[in-house]
Amino acid sequence: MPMELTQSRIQKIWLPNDNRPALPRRSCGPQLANSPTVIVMVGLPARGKTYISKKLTRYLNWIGVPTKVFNVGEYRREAVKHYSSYDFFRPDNEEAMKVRRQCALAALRDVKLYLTEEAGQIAVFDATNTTRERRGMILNFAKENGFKVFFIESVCNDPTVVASNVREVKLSSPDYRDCNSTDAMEDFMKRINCYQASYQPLDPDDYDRELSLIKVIDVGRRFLVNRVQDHIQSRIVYYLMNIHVQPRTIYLCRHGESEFNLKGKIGGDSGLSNRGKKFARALNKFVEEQNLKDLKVWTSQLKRTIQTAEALQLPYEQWKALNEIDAGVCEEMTYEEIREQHPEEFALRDQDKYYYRYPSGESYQDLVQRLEPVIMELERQENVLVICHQAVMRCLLAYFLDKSADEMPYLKCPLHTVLKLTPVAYGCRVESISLNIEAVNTHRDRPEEGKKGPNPLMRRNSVTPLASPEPTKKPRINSFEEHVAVSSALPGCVPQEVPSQLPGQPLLGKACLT
Amino acid sequence: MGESSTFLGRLDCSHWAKFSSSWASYMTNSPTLIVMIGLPARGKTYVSKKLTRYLNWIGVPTKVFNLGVYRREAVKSYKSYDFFRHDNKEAMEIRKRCALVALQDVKAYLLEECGQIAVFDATNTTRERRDLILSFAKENAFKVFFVESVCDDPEVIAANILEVKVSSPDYPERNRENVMDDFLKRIECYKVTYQPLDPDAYDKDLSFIKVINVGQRFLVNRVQDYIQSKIVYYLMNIHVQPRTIYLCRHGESEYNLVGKIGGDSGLSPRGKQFAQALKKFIEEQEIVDLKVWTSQLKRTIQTAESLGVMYEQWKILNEIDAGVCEEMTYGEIEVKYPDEFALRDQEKYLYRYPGGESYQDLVQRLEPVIMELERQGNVLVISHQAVMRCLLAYFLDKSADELPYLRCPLHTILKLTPVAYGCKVETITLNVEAVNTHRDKPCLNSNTLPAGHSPVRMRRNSFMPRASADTVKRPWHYSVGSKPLDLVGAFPSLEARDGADQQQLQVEAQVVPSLCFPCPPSPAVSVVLTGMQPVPRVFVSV
Repeated sequence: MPMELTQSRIQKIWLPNDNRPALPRRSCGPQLANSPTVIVMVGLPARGKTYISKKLTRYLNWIGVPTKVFNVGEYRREAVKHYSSYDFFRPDNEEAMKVRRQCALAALRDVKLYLTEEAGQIAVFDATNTTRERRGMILNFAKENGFKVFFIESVCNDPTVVASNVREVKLSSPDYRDCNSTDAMEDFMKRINCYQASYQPLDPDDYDRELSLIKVIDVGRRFLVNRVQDHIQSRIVYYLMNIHVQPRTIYLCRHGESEFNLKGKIGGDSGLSNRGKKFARALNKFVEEQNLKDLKVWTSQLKRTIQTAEALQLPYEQWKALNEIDAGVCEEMTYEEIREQHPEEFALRDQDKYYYRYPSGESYQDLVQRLEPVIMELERQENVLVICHQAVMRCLLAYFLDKSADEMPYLKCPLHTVLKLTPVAYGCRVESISLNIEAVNTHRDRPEEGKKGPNPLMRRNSVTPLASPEPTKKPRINSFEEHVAVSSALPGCVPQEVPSQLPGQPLLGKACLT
Repeated sequence: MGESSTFLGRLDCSHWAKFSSSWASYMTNSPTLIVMIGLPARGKTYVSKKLTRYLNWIGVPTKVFNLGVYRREAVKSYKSYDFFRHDNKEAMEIRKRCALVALQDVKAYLLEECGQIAVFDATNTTRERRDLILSFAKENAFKVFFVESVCDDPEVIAANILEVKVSSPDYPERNRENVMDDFLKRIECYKVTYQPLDPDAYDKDLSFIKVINVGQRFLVNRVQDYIQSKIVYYLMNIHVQPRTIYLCRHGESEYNLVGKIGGDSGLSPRGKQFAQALKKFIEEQEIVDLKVWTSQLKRTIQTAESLGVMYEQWKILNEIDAGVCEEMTYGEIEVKYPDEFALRDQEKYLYRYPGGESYQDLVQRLEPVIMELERQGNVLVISHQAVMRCLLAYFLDKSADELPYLRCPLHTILKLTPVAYGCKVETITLNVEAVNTHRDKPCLNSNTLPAGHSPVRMRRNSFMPRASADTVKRPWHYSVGSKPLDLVGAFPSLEARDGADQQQLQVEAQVVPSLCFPCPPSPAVSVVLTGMQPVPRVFVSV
């Protein structure tokens, strides 16, 4: 009988006994993409291409599709160390054109490497790609390698939107490091003009009618979608149609301390402890002080989050999808009890916490899938307070902060602490506000021996040029640091806003995280 | 704070969406009127019905209002396209009156009957008509979302005319060519006055989607809210390619044998036999590019393993989580949790096992499966009883009341083929014995539901003119543009089996009365086609 199965120990997936190769790790959903896809951005400068690229990449990585952005601008900055002026982008600057083409080719080489050798599924090619010639070249490249291509064109003719985009992200670009903002603004506008002359928008009626594409018009007011080929493209379209750029704030917190928290039990459906009730009242005060317009409050369907929300005296919505991770047979046990009664399970969880599924329960990976509709709806909404649970909050936070699967299950989300997330430029500013009500610590650190180096599951929004046009490589940037540096120039980002009562929490120690 | 696992008391319908189905809640701040636009034979009715079925399934009460039905009631016998000429003043007057009557019904549905979405299925090809609808909506504070279907491919149009218009009550006794001819002239009548949505100027502030050439391209403008975004996503995922979906459960499991629910047991010897028979069946069907999906439970995977083809495991296809009742027999549950046992019988769709799930939860969990099924071609889904019921309810447009009692026996395959506006179902029993896991609905409750309760939960794709221009109503099962078809010629797969395997196959064929109102809960419509008999006439109302 070929029907004998064994269950994988970490993920609890049934596999045939024979020596067939194991299922790929993400086997709990549809095959998201059978052949790798290159997403090609199209649009004039300052049309939000990089914003879309990074945001989309963060989303795709979070749902489990390895994705990376290849920003040709970074290749160009590496090739030409000092940007002097828009002259470089003039269509009649032949030498510069050559350099720019080489940069594009170098980036495409890296795309190929990423998709064929580094287990990447999706590469986002972030450049203007405004000419048919350039797009034709990319299409050929993709055809040669058997990659699917999906174009995302951002069209925006509203001068105020363009100007605000230039102010927000372009003036802090390394290109304008030594430049005052008026000059920078002027130079950038000229740079846009250099492209304008040769810009050939995608033409879905004729020239480009066979291509798969989405045109995002006026920052999401209108969309034109042509020939969506597969599941992942349809997901991308749906995501792009749901994101918006209105300023807003998302607050994440856990329920108040529960009776089970006091006893060290996980899961279950207990009510709040006395301190938990105190937190609920403090949260009420905090929310009032924040003075928010149209705040929506979401809870799980477990008693402790609902009790917390009840104290706010605001309408709230219960989501079953926000319920805590299902610990299966370990529900309502303390970690000690689990260690005693299921020693093997206990050890397995430490080995690979993201993939580990409790017997008859869930893994963090399962949780991410379950939370995807919540993320989609959060993207649609404006001000929202999500009152949830430790594992759930870690998953949500990992989405906003672009954390890898490896880091996610160890993010610090203490009780009685509110995280305030504000989108800024390409990232998200986090403030951590402790409401100063004592609570037990429910965090278990990553065991020492479990600490591993980076693995292919790392989620990275950043680009790390692998084969730069120059022989001398840039140091493999710690993207994290770099982005902090960049964003510290942002006006809205004031480091001292972050309370410092969370020592030992690398995640929250810095003001700006992208 | 409540004691039950949901923290809810009984709620009236205005709270329904808010608490009982958090997922549906964003959909529902104010009712929405979906207005179809397009020349005749552009698939408006197809889209209306399909979308309505989907929205009802995910829990948003939705109903189609088809203007053609109102018109046919007002004008009993259709003569020719003359009626649709724009210079036929008398007819124009009648048509406008029908539209107003239909809008009154829309209003009653959205304001008094707890409807959330009304789909206004008519050509609506002129700005004048659309402006009338917009001001109607404004008066009543309904949101409006337009769905325009644009198609210039003459082949697609001709196919659509042949498939659904020829069988329209407008053309009872004519032959095909005349119908085609008349219908094409009818389309010409509309073309004269057709003003497509103009996203660049006149209509730039409206919320709408233009569906161009049957889903090849879409133009989406000013999506206002969650439900509109959901509708757009759905429309972008459906396709009209012919294909077949096979639904079955795993082979009989060890737990089935001992009457236990849930758990993760392996197949019984008879279950393994079914897996072998399934392999043979699949081979005989000779399906192109068949995808096989299973849950992540052992019994479905064992079943799929014997097929010797690639398959995908979906955790969201796992059986309903019975919480504290997992791995118990119904007898044990009745003894240990008598209250829970009784509660479940009272309201099986909404009932959530302590620490587990309800059917309603399951529908939510399965939504991505439905969306992906819509995208795919031929698929075999090997799942579980409760899961299969939810999937089946989607395809057959069953209400929340009927859903938990749909019959999905072990060792039986349901073959679903989309036809016209509905879905043809064939039941194929592979003749491997198995235990019966079906519990009938206890007769106590079906009539004792509070009266106000049912309309909210009713899933109805069909529409019922309440204030028709005419007092005499047509019989129900003839509603919306079709008459019984003779399916004898439409069962090639059955006829092909004339021969060797006949003896082993017991085939039931049933075409889903997706528009039949009210649907009888029993599968009495189905006809058992045993072995050697010629395929008998099958009642079809599509």
